[in-house]
Amino acid sequence: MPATSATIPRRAGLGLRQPHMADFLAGPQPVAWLEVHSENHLADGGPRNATLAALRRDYPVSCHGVGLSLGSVGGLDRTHLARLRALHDWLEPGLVSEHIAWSVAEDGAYLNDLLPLPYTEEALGVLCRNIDQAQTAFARQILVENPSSYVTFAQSTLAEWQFIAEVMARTGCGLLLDVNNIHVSAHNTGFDADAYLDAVPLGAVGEIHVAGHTLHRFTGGDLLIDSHDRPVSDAVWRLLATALARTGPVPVLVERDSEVPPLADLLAEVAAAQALLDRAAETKALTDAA
Amino acid sequence: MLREVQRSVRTALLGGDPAAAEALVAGNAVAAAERLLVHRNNAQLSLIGVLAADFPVTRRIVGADFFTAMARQFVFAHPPLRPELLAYGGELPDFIAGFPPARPLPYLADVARLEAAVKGSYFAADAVSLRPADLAGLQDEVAAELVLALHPSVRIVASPFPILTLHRANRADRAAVGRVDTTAPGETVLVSRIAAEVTLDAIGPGDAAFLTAVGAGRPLIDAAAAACLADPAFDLQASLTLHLVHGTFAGTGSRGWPHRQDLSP
Repeated sequence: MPATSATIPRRAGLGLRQPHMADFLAGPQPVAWLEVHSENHLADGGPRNATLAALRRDYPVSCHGVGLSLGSVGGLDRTHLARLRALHDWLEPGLVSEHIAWSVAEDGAYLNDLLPLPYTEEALGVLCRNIDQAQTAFARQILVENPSSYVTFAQSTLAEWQFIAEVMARTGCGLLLDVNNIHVSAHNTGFDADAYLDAVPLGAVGEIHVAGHTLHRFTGGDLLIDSHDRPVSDAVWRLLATALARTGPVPVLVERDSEVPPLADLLAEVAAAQALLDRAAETKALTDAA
Repeated sequence: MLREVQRSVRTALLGGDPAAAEALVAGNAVAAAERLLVHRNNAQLSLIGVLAADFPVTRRIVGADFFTAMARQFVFAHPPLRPELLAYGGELPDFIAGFPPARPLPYLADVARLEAAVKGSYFAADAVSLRPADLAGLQDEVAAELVLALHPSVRIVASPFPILTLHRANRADRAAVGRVDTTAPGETVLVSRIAAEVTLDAIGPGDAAFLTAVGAGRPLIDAAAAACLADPAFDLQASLTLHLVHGTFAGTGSRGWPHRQDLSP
C-alpha cells in the first residue's frame, strides 16, 4: 500500500527512468513527485515493479500512458484498459494521462509512435468516444497531452487549439499541456506559440510537461524533433513561464527519454522548473491580494 | 476518412508504399514525404531498439548492421500486437530460424530463444520459493505423490548447440569475445529469477525432463520416472535438494502451490 498521499503537488516532478532508479532507492531526492510510463510497468512482477513499489511509498506518482491509442478509429483495446486499471488500483496514481494521438492500427499493430490525427469532426468524435470509454474504465478523469506535430493533413478543418478545446468541452477530461510540443509544432507546422497559449483552454490544465528537442535538416528546410534527448531549451522555459503566469502553479514535469544524463543534471532542471513555479505562486498571491 | 488515414500511415511506417499517406499530408518547404519519414523512423528505430536491447547476445554474434537489417524485417513481418513491449520479440527466434541470411549460423535461433526466455523470466510474477525445510519430515510415499509448482520465473531452454557457452562468451559486458566451438555438445539451460537477477544454469537431460514434468503438473514420482527415461543416472534426491536450495519451486502461498493429490492411505 502506498504510504504517500496520492495527490500530485503543484510542484516540479521528474519522469522516472531506469538509469536513475538506483539513485532514488539510495536516498531521498529533491523531487516533489514522479511520473512513470504506464506500459513500462505492465509486468506480472520483477525488479522494476519492486523498485517502483518502494519509491511509491516516498513519492506521489503519476501514470503517463503511451500505448492506449485514444485516436484509434477501431476503438480502445479492452484488455489494455483492464491492465491499466489494475496498475492504477495498485499504484493509486495522483494523475493519469495519455495523448491526443493514435498508435494502434486497425489490424492491431502497435506502431510505438504517437501518430497525428487530422483535425476533423470525424476524428473529434472518435477521440471523444475513446476518452469517454477510458474515463469510464478508470473511473476517473484523465488528462490528454497536446501532440508534437511534424505532419498536418489536408483534410483538417479545425485548428489544433479548437480541436483541443472541443475535446475538453465534450469529455470533461483535463489538459496535459506540453510546452515543448507547442514549440516544436509551432516551428514545424507554422503557428505562433503565444497565440496557441491564448487559444487553448488553460483552465483545464492539470499538468505541464517540459523536455528537450533536436533540429533536423531536410531538403527543403528543417524540422524540430521532439526527441527528449537534451536539456530544455530557453524558448521552452519562456513558454513555461508564460503558461504558469496564466494557470498559476500546477504540477510541472521534466522529461528525458534518451541520452539520459546523470540524475544531478536533471535535478538542476527540476530546480529551474520549481523556481518558475515559485515565481508564479508569488505573482498569483499578489494578484489575489489586489 | 480517418480509417483511410490510419491504414495508409500504418502501411507507410512498416515497409509499405508511402504514396497513399503522402497524398493525405500537407507539405510546404519540407515535403510531405520527409515529414512522414520522422514518424517512420520513430516507429522502426524504436522497435528495432527494443529488440537490440533485449537480444544483446544475438546482436553481438551477428554484428549491429546484420542485426538491424534482420530486426527491421522482423518488425515488418511481426509488428507488436500489444501496446506494452515487455513481451515483444517472442517470435524472433522462430523468425531467425527461417531467415535465409542467418542460415550459416544454425545456433542463432536457439541463442535468441535463450534471450527471449531471459526477458520473460525477468518480468515474470514474483513468488516465494519452496525451501528444503518445507518438505522436511515428509514420508517418502507422501513426497512421491506431491505435485509441486515451478517458480513463475523458471524457463527451460534446450538446444543441440552450446547456447549457454555462446551466451556467456558474447555477453555485452564482456570485453573479449572468446572463440566458441559451436560443434560442442548441446546445452539445456535453466533460466530463473529467484532473487533480483536472472540466472542461467546448465542442467542435464534428466534434470530438464524432471522439471518439465513438474511444470506440467505431474507428481514427483512420475516426474522422476520421466527423468530416468531421459537419463538413467538421474538421482531424484540430489536433484530435489539442488532445486529446493536454488528456489526452483514455488512455495506455499504462491499461485499454484502444491495441491497434494490423494494423500489418504
